[in-house]
Amino acid sequence: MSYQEFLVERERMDALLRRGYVIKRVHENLSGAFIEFALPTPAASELKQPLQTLHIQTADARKYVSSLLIQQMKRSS
Amino acid sequence: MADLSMNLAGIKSPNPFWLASAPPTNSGYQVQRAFEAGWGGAVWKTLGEPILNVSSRFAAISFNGQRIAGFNNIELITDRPLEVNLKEIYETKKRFPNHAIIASLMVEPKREKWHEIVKRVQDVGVDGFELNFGCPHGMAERGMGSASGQVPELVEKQTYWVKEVAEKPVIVKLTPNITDITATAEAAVQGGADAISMINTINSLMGVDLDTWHIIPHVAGKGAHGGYCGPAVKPIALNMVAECARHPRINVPISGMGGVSSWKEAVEFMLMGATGVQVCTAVMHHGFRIIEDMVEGLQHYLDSKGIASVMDLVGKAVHRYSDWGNLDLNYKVAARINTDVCINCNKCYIACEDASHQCIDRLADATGREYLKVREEDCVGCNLCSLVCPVDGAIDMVELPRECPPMTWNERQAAISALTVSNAEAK
Ligand SMILES: Cc1cc2nc3c(=O)[nH]c(=O)nc-3n(C[C@H](O)[C@H](O)[C@H](O)COP(=O)(O)O)c2cc1C
Ligand code: SF4
Ligand code: SF4
Repeated sequence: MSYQEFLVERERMDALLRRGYVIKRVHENLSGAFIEFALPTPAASELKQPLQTLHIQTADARKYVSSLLIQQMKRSS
Repeated sequence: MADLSMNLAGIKSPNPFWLASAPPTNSGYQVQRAFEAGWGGAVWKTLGEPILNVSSRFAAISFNGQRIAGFNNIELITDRPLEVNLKEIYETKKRFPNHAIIASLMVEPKREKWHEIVKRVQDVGVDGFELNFGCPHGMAERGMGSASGQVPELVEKQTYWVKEVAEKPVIVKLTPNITDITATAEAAVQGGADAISMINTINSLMGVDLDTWHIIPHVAGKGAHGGYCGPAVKPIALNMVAECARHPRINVPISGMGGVSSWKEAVEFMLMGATGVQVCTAVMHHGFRIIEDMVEGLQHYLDSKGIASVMDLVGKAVHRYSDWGNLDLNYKVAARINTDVCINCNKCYIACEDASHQCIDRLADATGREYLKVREEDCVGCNLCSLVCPVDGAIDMVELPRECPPMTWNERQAAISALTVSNAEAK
């Protein structure tokens, strides 16, 4: 899996974060990680999609999302 | 000049280099010559009921021109009567009162047998005992050596019996032929050991002759497993020393051995928790005189680092040895090829292409000259290319700037489970 694939996956996660989503659930299995993003207070425009799940496959992106999660938990504690 | 003198559980020696219990410490003649050459101490060839040896006992692996990269033996303990050894120990100690003489002992796992030998040996003035719970062949079939050294209860019990009568420090020498050496090390501590030493030799079969199909070495056409030691075993020995050194309940000094061939390995063992080292194979290969370079090299090293005493090295790197789960997943290195040094042999390219992550590109400059370049963003920093590269300085493994703060596997798993718990609570 190449750096380019990592960049794509990172961007998909960053895009959700920019729209105010937070990491809600991390589910890992043989296919990689399934990350559920949620809007803490759904804005009107987003109500149709309060939850978004991304399938993350590259190792670097799975590392990245864990770093994001740790930062998110630090912020909220 | 740095102080090289050493104190292991009360056993003092002028330097941290001891001869391990093995052929070089078979007799007073040898040990006295070793002390004259500069060795700080000697663990006498294991004493016990005199044994019978086979002829054709040693074998070695030569690797790419390096003779004796690994060494193997099917020799047992001393074949000389106890009185003969004790007389020579006494004479040697008298001539060299400031050198350490440790008696290595092995008897059947019976209380009265241990009491008898300890009492007889301590009367001649040894500085300590080393209990040989490690010999992997011959003696093990008789319930001694590694047969009793692999069972923590037997290690504890026999150590305890020895401690009942020993008036000198007791070192328990452990076998590496066990999944987790800390189990037997802890048993030795429980039994009252003043120190532990490791490693004895590793079970091994050196090879099979391709023409005759004989086991190497063979004794009249038959072979038996032997004990492996020498440079090849150093990483195994060093790990075992370090695992014991960082174990919270193993709090006695460690005498380290297994592949020590120069002052450098000695420093490594000491940094990882050993109070001094023992040497066998290197002396069997090169003779007692290697001690001169070992002492001189250690002295220079300590002086160049401004370290006053060799004892200040002991255990200084142990805190850096941890579990995989505590390593930083966000730390990144990448290979960088120095084209001015590279000889274009392509070893690194092949290694990365066939066995790693296919991230070395073969390019050509404007003049058509070929050169190699690592795509740093795809390089996982495995080190393989730099390990196969035959030219010093042609590949540097460089640290990349951090993109994320440090994060270990354990921290990551803790964060994921905390998230799961908080989700459950929120329901
Ligand atoms: C030929 C030979 C005989 C040995 N005999 C003994 C012995 O009698 N008692 C003992 O405790 N260890 C014995 N050993 C093991 C060494 O003391 C030492 O633990 C091992 O060789 C690892 O050190 P090295 O890599 O420096 O050789 C013997 C090793 C060799 C090679
Ligand atoms: S460090 Fe590993 S991945 Fe990187 S270039 Fe070298 S061999 Fe390839
Ligand atoms: S292995 Fe070393 S010398 Fe050979 S091509 Fe690679 S960098 Fe150059």
